[in-house]
Amino acid sequence: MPEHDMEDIFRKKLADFAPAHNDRWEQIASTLPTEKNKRKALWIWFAVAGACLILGIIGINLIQTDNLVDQATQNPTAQVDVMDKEPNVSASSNTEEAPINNQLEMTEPGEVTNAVEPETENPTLYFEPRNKGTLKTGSNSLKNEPGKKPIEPVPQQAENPHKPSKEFAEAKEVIDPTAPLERKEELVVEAPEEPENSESTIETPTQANESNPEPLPIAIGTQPNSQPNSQPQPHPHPWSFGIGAGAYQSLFIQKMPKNPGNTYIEKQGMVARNRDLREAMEQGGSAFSQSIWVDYKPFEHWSFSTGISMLQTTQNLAFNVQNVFDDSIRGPQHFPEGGSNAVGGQYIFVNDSILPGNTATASNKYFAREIPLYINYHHKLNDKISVQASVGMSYRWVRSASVYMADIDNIGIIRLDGPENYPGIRSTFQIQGGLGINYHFNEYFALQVMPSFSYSIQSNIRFTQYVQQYQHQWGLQLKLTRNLDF
Amino acid sequence: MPRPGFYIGMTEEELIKGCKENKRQYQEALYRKYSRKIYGICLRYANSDMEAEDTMQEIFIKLFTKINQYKPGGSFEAWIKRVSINYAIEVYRKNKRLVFIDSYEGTYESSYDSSSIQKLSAEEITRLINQLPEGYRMVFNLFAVEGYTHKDIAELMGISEGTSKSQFSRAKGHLVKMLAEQLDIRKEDSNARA
Repeated sequence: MPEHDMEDIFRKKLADFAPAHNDRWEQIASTLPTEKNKRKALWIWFAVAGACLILGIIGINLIQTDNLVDQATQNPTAQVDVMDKEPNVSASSNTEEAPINNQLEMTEPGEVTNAVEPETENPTLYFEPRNKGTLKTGSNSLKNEPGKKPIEPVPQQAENPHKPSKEFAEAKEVIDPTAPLERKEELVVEAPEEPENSESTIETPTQANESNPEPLPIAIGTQPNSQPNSQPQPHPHPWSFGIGAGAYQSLFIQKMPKNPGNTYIEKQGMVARNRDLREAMEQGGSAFSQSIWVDYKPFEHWSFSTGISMLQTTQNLAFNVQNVFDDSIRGPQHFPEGGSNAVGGQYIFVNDSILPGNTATASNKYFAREIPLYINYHHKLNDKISVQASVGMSYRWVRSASVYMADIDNIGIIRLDGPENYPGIRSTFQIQGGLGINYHFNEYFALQVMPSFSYSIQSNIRFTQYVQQYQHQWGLQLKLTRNLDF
Repeated sequence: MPRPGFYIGMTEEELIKGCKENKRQYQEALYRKYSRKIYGICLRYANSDMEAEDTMQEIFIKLFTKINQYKPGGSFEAWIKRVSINYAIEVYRKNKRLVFIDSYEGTYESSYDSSSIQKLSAEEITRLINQLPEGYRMVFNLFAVEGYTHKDIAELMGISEGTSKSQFSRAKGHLVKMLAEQLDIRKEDSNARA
């Protein structure tokens, strides 16, 4: 009989072997994440990122608009005075009638300016361009015409002076906005020449203007800007590019799995022992990063940063075999010197390589990539130095890992290429921040030194039945930036 | 719950797509389609039916969470089988102490009747394999049934290639002995009936 007969027969017979079993679907389904939960979890992260972004934008806008609000509140009576005298100024500001606007284009700004005479000491007024004509039209419409009912002044509207009043609505009924083209032309020409029209409330400014030839500082069609330097100025070089490097101290926290599953409930003792063992072994570690950055500075004080980092983290492990684990020592094994890419993550953390009676050591190296997103606040101390506070989040994923542990001949390495070969390895989100100093060499180049921290809000190693490991780190990062000319 | 035979007529691509979208109906269909085959694999590695079911359950959870890693083009069934075998071994290694018995003292029966083996059902063969000592069983399953090479097995289990070969040889001897006993029992039974 050929040597391989038995194997062939077994292989063929067992190829389609499909015995009946108890239905386990309900247990499986109860363990699987639901689509809803998955989406919910995703939305949480999007919500957090969105909230950070919105808060940043709101903060910037608040700072930007503070000065405008201040200006508006400094001279609140100017508008009210005008409105009291000229109800149609405010009322007409909401008028969208095309014929009126068309008329306005035919008028000269100077005419409009001269047609108004505010009685305030500081007559800084702001009118939308269309108000030029509206004023004229109003003036035109409000001329004392026989049989026309005079329009009452509009009461003061503290909340929104531009809101159309009831009186304006009535006035609109009296004034036909589609008709006055001919009348308006008359008025433009006639208004300065007919001082008798001063009886009309709306003509009073025109009359007053004749006695006051000085041009009024009314900004028409432009925004008042009495304090130009107090507004946040756009950064002269909003975009910058940078390269960075960092060195960190890592701290690994071992926790019990949150959901050990229903299969291994009875093995909680084993899970706890595994956690305790890893805690006993934990020696911390170091990490190094190299990164490329892109910064966007929409304003002088605020900027956003993102980029990509390559991060290498070493985790050192050591424990005394005799005291901690001597009841479960398994015989020493051998890993190839060049590294063993364990198939399907066949990697037993401790048992494979520990020699009883010794202090066993091992180290894990994780090679990860990370995408950070920071919001930064800058404060310039002088021409050369500024301080910077940064806060943000990052997403980190492990590309490969190596496990160095002493095997029977002390040269064993397990090299796990790709997270699929490393059981339990997971991508994580981190909250990150730092407070640093920027030294500006000149207009373009700056060097940043920033002590920073990274707090992982997810476990980077997550075995359902065994252990969850959180990696936090703090350290120092350097960044050289160059402002770009666009 | 999908109707019985929900997956019949459905292409494998549709089934995989539904599972990737985390649709419960498609996941259950996949489970119904492949659970018995996976259970058959698990039986070869586990010590009991219950343990095999536990392992199968964990494999499906792993399959559904990792299904995005499956790259279309290859055989899905082969992928499932590979994942199942790897996970079965992983669980086995995590939960057991792998003890290789180097002092097998049984007699090595080199001659056996292949026609007699042909008469054995798959279930009987599985039961026979299950009676092997754990270390033997792992190597025998991986080499004789799954088709791994001794080099693969050595890497997979962290042993030398020579150890794998010797373990397989001893496993085979052990199995032949058990097989002979099994066939003797059958013979006695048939004689008794006659």
